[in-house]
This record gives sequence, structure tokens and C-alpha cells, in this order.
Amino acid sequence: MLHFLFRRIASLLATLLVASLIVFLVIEVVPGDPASYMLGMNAQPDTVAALRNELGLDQTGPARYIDWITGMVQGDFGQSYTYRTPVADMVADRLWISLPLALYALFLSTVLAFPAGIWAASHRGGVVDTAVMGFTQLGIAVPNFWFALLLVMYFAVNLGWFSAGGFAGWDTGLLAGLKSLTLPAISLALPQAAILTRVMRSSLLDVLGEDFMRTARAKGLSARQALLRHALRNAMIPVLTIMGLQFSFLIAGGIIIENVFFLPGLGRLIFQSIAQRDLIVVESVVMLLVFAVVLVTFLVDLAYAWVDPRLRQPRR
Amino acid sequence: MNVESPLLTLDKVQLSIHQTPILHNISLQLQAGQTLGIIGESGSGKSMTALAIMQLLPRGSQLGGSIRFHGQELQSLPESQLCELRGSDIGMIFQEPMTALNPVKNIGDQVSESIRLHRHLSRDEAWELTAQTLQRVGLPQARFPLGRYPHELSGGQRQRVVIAIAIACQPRLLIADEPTTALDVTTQAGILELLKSLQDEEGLALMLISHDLAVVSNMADDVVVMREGCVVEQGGLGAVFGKPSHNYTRLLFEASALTQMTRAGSPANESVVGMTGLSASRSEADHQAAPVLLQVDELICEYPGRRTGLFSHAPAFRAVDEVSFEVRQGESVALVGESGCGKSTLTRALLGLMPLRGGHVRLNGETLSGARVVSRAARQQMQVVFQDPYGSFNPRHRVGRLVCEPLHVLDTPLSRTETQQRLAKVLESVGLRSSDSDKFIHEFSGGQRQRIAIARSLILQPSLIILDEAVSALDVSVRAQVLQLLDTLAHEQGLAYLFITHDLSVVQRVSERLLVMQHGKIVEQGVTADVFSNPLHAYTQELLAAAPVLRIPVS
Amino acid sequence: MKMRSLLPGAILVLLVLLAALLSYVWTPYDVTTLDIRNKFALPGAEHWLGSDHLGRDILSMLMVGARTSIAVALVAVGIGMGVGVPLGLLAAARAHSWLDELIMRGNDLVFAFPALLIAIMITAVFGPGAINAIIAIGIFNIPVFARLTRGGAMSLWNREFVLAARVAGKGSLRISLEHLLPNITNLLVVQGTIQFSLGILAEAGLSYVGLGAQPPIPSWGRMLAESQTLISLAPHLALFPGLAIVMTVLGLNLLGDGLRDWLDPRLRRER
Repeated sequence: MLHFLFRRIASLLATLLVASLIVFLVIEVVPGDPASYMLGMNAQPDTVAALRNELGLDQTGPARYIDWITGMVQGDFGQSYTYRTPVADMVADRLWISLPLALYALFLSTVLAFPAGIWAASHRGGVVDTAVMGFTQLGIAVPNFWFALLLVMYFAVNLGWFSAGGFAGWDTGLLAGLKSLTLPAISLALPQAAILTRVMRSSLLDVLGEDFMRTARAKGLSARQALLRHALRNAMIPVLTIMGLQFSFLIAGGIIIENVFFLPGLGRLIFQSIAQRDLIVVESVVMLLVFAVVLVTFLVDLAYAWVDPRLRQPRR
Repeated sequence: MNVESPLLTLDKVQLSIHQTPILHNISLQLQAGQTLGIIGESGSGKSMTALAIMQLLPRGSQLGGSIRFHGQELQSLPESQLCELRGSDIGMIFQEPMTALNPVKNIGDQVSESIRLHRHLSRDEAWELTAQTLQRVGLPQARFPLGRYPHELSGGQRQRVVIAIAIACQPRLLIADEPTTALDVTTQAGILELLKSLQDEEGLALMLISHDLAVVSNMADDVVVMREGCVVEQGGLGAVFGKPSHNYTRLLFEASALTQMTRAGSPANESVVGMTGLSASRSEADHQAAPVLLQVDELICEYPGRRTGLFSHAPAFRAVDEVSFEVRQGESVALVGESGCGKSTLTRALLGLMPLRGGHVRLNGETLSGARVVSRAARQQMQVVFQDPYGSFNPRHRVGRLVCEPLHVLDTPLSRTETQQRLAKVLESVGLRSSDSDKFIHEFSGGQRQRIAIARSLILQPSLIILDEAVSALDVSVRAQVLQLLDTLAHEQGLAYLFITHDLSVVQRVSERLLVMQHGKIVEQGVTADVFSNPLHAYTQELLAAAPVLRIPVS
Repeated sequence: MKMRSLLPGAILVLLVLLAALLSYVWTPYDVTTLDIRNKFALPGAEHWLGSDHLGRDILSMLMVGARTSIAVALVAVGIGMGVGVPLGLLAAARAHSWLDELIMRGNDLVFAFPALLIAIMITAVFGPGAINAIIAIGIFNIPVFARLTRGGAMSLWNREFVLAARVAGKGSLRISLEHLLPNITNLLVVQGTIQFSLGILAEAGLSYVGLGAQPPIPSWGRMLAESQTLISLAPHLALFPGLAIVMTVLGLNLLGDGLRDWLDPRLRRER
């Protein structure tokens, strides 16, 4: 088991390292001279030189890379050029919005998808199944930001139950904060829930056709008992994979949704920084998001091994 | 004759699935404590009959007729009561032990679940009973802790767990659907022995479903023969086996007998039909003089050891350990071994699909070993027929293209007319028509596909054909036909065969010489008849003792 | 039940394709002419789907926008397949070797970067545009096809008909092309339609945040972005582009499902 853990962690670190290299290369090396890029074409040579100094661009590429990495590990993400504040602080503020949003959406989609998928699979071919398949087919086709617009149109503008955008802030209270995040979370959760439902259903149907299910029924378990006690755990394995993969889509979706609802999260930060050509911020935030995705994949791998004992030993 | 009424009665049972009729008018009886053998080939409906008794048929099934168990009419019971019966009064075990257990639960949980479902016992008491049950089936706790997972057990061991699950609550009836078909001969013997002893100890009634007449002849009191969803013949073992009245039963017997074993010292009243053995007409003496075709010297094949640590590896696993043998021209040699003995690795090595760690392989004097690139002339001389009649063909190609695939190895490609001629000739020699070359492989039955596979192996006019479990996946009657065909071809074309198989009965039928393989080594070799009558090595003796012999009692 | 999705899916997709193609020769109005007097027209006889805040005809914009969506998604799928499939075949042919490991790690690496992040990185450096959107989505498609191809090919390498071909002396390349590829084409076609539909969604998302095709090239995503501030004034501006996206994606998904079922039973019949 330890061996398994070791390999996974090694893999995690390797991926992070290479990913960071890519981010670094694309953002700092490709544009040529980041300083002049940031300042634009009409900048004075003096200002450019000053910025170069400030950014430490006189050092060689590899040295700058090492500096950046060691800085990040210690929590120092550099200083934003536009705002003159540490990037770490800016990110921390925004994180308190993006992270709860992602978790909220994950929670909603799971709570919707699992029961729906299980229900559909256990009543295969019936009315419930057809309805679920129909809804999910539609759900996958709807762009989440459009759905968000529709939600805003109806629930905010028409009914006035929610505000059309903006974030109330956590200091006004937990519920108020959650209320601001509700419409965004729902619009994020919908296509995810649709996909998860389908995966849950098909995975469960696959498992229900396996031989050991027959053994379970022959023991005297009812169809329902057999499904809950035997099929579910096995069906979770592919579902976990998809959930892990979907996380990266969740992040991308979150970025877009924040724009719809004017939420001051990491997404808005990135776009503002692109508009302002603040490469330092862009670099750090992208790296942070990549880190999140890789971490989640790693956790999913661990969850696999917990669910499926066959994976705990090295393969023959 | 039993005074009590039978434990299980099926009366005019009809089954159709999605409007397709599967079972017609099945009527049979099983007395308490007795064994009923149900014999049939694929498509006979025997498994469906078992599922019908358990009321576990697939969706879309329409079941008619009466199924009475211990006085109760199962067809009219609600599902909840059926759940109570299953596992506690009627147990069932299935054919594929490798997939019959839930891979994410340990064996203790899976057996105790059965107990706790039907008996009101505390967790500890149930656990205790679980350990006892596993002990009874030959899996003592000392060697097989209850926390073991299925993937840590072999096929035979898994089947024992399945049996434990089925008998944990001491049912009156145990239905066994092909319980040993997927297992090795020695493992099979163990499982059958276990079933017999359970029956004796508990007074269990056993319904044994099998396509193997030998197995049934050693276990059953009464027999039912099924074919295409109908009961063709039934009665006591002595009556049906001794004097079969239906044509199909007789056909099955002949086919089985042609592939059944005789052993030295079998009593005079046990006869085997038709053992003239065409292969006997080619005497061993003829072959002593023939030149050596395939020579294998001290062959070694290894698999790299698995990773045990970050930088260390377990020692390499030797699948083929200094194997030496030869096959002469026109000779038919069989290589026998159970799963894991290394015969598949050996086959791949001979075919050039696997690198050699040591030793030589020579075909017609030319060395094949050590090269991934086996010379074309060599490839021409040695061809192969695989086991799986479904998987050995690309489903998207037509038969003509499939059979001609080996031709690409020729240095000078044949002209179109020559190709057509060869194709036609080879198809006809296996009993098919040249017009079949335009069809797709899925349009043929299993037996026909193997014929096509044989045709493919013949097209280069080889001297040696390796048959890798080539008849194992076929029904008994079809198997006999294919073996007959192979015999004829060998006769006509002077072919040499290397039969790789685990099935001793096939061996006796087709080969003149025999090699026995265990743990990567050849432990015994010699003339087939000699080895059978006087096995020298302990393992060979074990194999022969384990193989079921078709006993035809004389009334 | 499943077969019923093939026809409706094909019809929807065909409609969108036709609209896109038609836009090259005719649209009800020219999308570049502004007609401020007729702004915010509701759907009616003059403008079938209404007009936007600059008086442009929505239907015409949708038709031309279809071009963008389809082009971006299609080329992205092309990139994904063109690079991913050979990589997958290669990985399967050299399964468990260092090359295989390398390709798989590479896959995992690309998966760590959602298409949006790739697009962000590219546009941060090179500026926004349709080409960059294509590259970003295309790059993300590569590991999808590589993984699928590798999985499909690996399961076939052990099949006996491939063994027979190896015994006959055929090399990996030939076997991959002659035997493996035709047998995984089904998988690829189905996944291709799925990735196509995902590409449409991705392009719409990118255009919405301004990273896709730039003005004056119309795109559905940008139409939605422009409609956002006017949502209380003219809801139809937000409705129709969204419906266009839903229709296209739904059509492609139904087509994919239908294809999967149409191709599969035939394969099963062939067993």
C-alpha cells in the first residue's frame, strides 16, 4: 500500500513540475520580453528597464524559474504590477469566493445526479428512465453561462428572489453569502449533474449485468438489496473517474460563471489581469488552478484504491 | 423407488424470452438426497431451466408451467418469499468462478452475508459459522483468512467460496450449473469430490448441469438429456447411458466416446464405442524413421519479475524451463498441461511471438530462435490454429481475405488465379465451399469457424500445424467432427501436428506421442498408449486419476 | 428506443450545417450593416428572429455565427484526431514500454490544463482570436483521442486474429493500420461527434468571455455576451443564440448516441 502511495505522490510532483515549466515558458519566455509586453509598445526605455530590474529579468531563464518555484512553495507569488499588492493576498481574497462556489456546485450536482442515476438504472426502460435520459440529454446541451442568463432573467429580474449579480460578502453572514452563490452554483451544477447522472446510470447498468450480481440474487438478496449492497460500490469506480475529470471543467465553468454574475473571484481576476497585461498575476493564478486540478486527480486516484482493493497491490 | 413425493418437480415448463421460445414442455423430477444430471450442448436450454427454478430469469421472460419445490408452487410465490427460499432452501453455483464473486468485498463478508440474511445470528456467531463453512469446503481459516479478497484466490478456490455461500444455510437442493467447466482437470476432480461429500454429509439433493458426459456418469443417479429447449430423454443413469433410446443421445455418446479415455484395467463391462482411433493406423514405428521436423532444445522463456520496491524487482519468472522435445514429419504429438504450466508461453515462443532467454528452436534444421524476425521459409512450414473460433478472425474481413492472410509471407507473391485456386482447394478440403469465401465470419457456426481456421493454416502447405486448444471451445458433437477432419487431413497430406491442450481425452484420441508439462518443465514424455497405461511421474498419475472417465454401466 | 435518436440528431445537425453553408451565398440581411432605427425589433415578418441593439438581423447573425462555431469545433476535432489517434496507436503497439509511459504522462499533463486555461495562456501572450481558440480546444482534444485509441487498440492486441497476423509475420504498423484501426473506427466516430459538440460549447464559452473570434466576425458566444446588459430590455437577444447552441449540441449528441447504437449491433451481429 505504501508503495502505491509513493508512486502516486511521485507522479503528482512530477506532473506539477512539468506543468509549472510549461506555464513559465509560455508566459515568461514566449512573449520575448515580458517587461516590454506588459508596458505596451509606447513605453519609455527607462520604464522598461526599471520594470526589468524589478522583475529580476536580468537573471537567466532557469534562475528565474527556480526563484518562482521556490517563492510559490513558500507562499510568495510575487507582486502584482497593476495593484502593487502581493499576488498571494489578492488570490486569497478571491479564493474565498471561487472555492465555495466550486464546492457548492459539486455538492448540488452530486445530490441531484446520484439518486437520479440510481433511480433510472433500477427502473430501466420505464417512464422514469426515459424522463431522466431526456432531461440529461438536454442538460448536457445547455451552455452553463446561457442557463445562468436565463436564471437571472427569471429569478432575479422577474421574480426578484435573488440579485442579478455581485457578491454580498461573507461578513454579512453565511446565508447571505450562500444566497449570492446560489444562482451561480445552480448554473454550474446543471450540466455537471446531467453528465454525472448518465455516467452513474450506465456504470450501474454495466455492473448490474455482472456475474457476481447473479450470485448475490442467488443468495436470496432482493433486487434492491443487491443493488445497494453490491452494485453501488463497484459502480462508483467509473463515476469517480468522471468526477475527477469533470473537476477541470468545473474550474473552467466557474471562471466563466463569475463573469456572468460579476463575482469577484479568481476568474474575474484572470480576465482583469489579461486586460491589464499583468503577467505576474496571470501566471500565478493559472498555476494555482492547474495545481487544483492535479491535486483532485491525485485524490481521485487515492479514492480508487480505497474503493477497489485490487488496485492496492502493484499489478502483476 | 422413493415413497415420498419428489423434492422438485417441473411440469410442462415453457419459457420464452422476448417472444423467442427457449424451453418447451420441460418435465422432470428430483428426489431428496439424489443427484440429477442434466446433459446438453450449448443452446440446449439447460442453464435457463436452472434459472427458471430459481425464478431469476432475465427481463422479458415469460414462464409457464409448474415448478413445485417441497410442496410449494414456486410460480405463485411473491418475490419476498422467493428471496427467503433462495440461499437457504435452494442454493445455486455457476460456471465462471473468476467473476462470480464481488471483487471489492472480502470472502468472509460475502459468505456471512448469506448466513445473516436467513438466520437470526449475531455478527460474531455468523462470523464463526462462516469460518466453519469455509473450512468445510476446504478453505481453512489458517490458510485463507476471512479478510481475503477474491482476486487473491485461484479459480478453484473461488469456486469453493461460491459453494460455501450456497450451502452455508444448509439448503435442501443445490443447483450446479457447469461448476467445473472452467477449471483444470485436477481442480475439477477436487470440486466434484467436495460436492459428493457435501451430499453425503447433508443429504443434499444435487442438480448437476453439464455438457460433459463423463462427469455426469460419475455423479448422477438420474439423467435428463436436453436439446434445443426440449427434453429428449430421461431416466435412471443405467437406463439412459446403458441403452440410449433417442438418436441424439446416441450421437452424444458416440461423439464423447470418440474423445473419451480408456484406462488400463477398466472393467470389461465398461465399453467405449468406436475407439478404433484412426490415428492408430499410423503406427509409431513408421514415424521413428521419419526425419525430425521440429527440434526444441533446452528452451527457456522468462517474464520479468514485478516491482517489489522503488528500485528492486522480484526475480524473473521462468515460464518455460529448459524444455526439450522433437516432432517428426507426419507425427502427431500432444502437449498436455494445466493452466499456468507454461504451455501458452511455449506456443508463443515457437511461433516467434515471444523472445527466448535460452535454448534453440529448429525447424527443418533451420534455427528459429533468438530472432524476432523469423525467416519466411520457416513461417511457411509452421502454421497455427487458435482456440477461440470467434476471436481469431477480424470481424470486418471476408473469409477469402482471412484465409489468404498468411500468403503475404511468400517471397514471390502468387498471381490472382493461383491464389483463387489455392483458396478454393483449401476450403474444399475442410468441407466448405469456395463460394463461402465471400461471406463474413459471423455467418458461420463455431465448428465451421474452426474449419476456416484450419483452412487458413493449410494455405501455405505447411509441414507442421500447431493446434492451441483448438477444439476446447467446441461442443462435444462438433468437436468429434473437427478431430475427424484433422485426422483425414493428416492422412492425406502427411501433416505433423503439435496439439496443445489440457484435455486428456482429446489427447488419447489424436496423438501418438505425449508430453506432460508442469511448472515449465516436461515431466514425462512417451508414446500415448504407454503413458496412459503406465504413467511414471507422480503428476501424470495425478492427472490421469483426476480425469473423469465415461462409465457406461451394463444393466 | 435508442435508434430513435439517430434520425432527429442527424436532422438537427443537418439544419445547422445547411444554415452555415447557406450563409455563404445568402442571408436575410447583411450582418455588417447597422440599422439603428430598427433596433430591438421583436421577432416578426421583417426580422424573423428580431434585431439587436444595433439593428442587425439576428437570424443572419446566427447563420454566419454558425460558420464560426462549426469551423472552430471541426478543426479542433481534426487536430485532436490527427495527433491523438497515431499517438494512441503507437502507445498501444508499445504497451507498457517507456514510450507508452511517456505518452500517458503527456496525456495526464494536458488533462491538467482545462481548455479554457490553455486559451487564457495563449491569449495572454498572443492576443485573442479564433485561431487561438482552435489551438486551445484542439490541444485539449488530443489526449482524449489518444487515450481512447490506446484503450481500444490495447484490447485488440491480445485478440487472436491479431496474433494470427503476427504469426503471419506482419509488423506493428501494418497490424495497427489493417486490423486495429478499422475495428476502432466506431469508437472514434462516436467520440468525434461528442468532442465536436463539446467544441461548440467551448467555442461559445470562449467567445462569451471575449477570447474567441473577434469582431466583426459574428459568434454565438459573443452575441450572448452583448445581450447580457440588455436582458431586461430585449430578452430575445439572449434567447435565440442560446437556443442555437442548444440545438446544435443536442443534435450532435443525439447523432453520436444514434451512431453508437447503429454501429454497435451490426458489430454484434458479426460475432
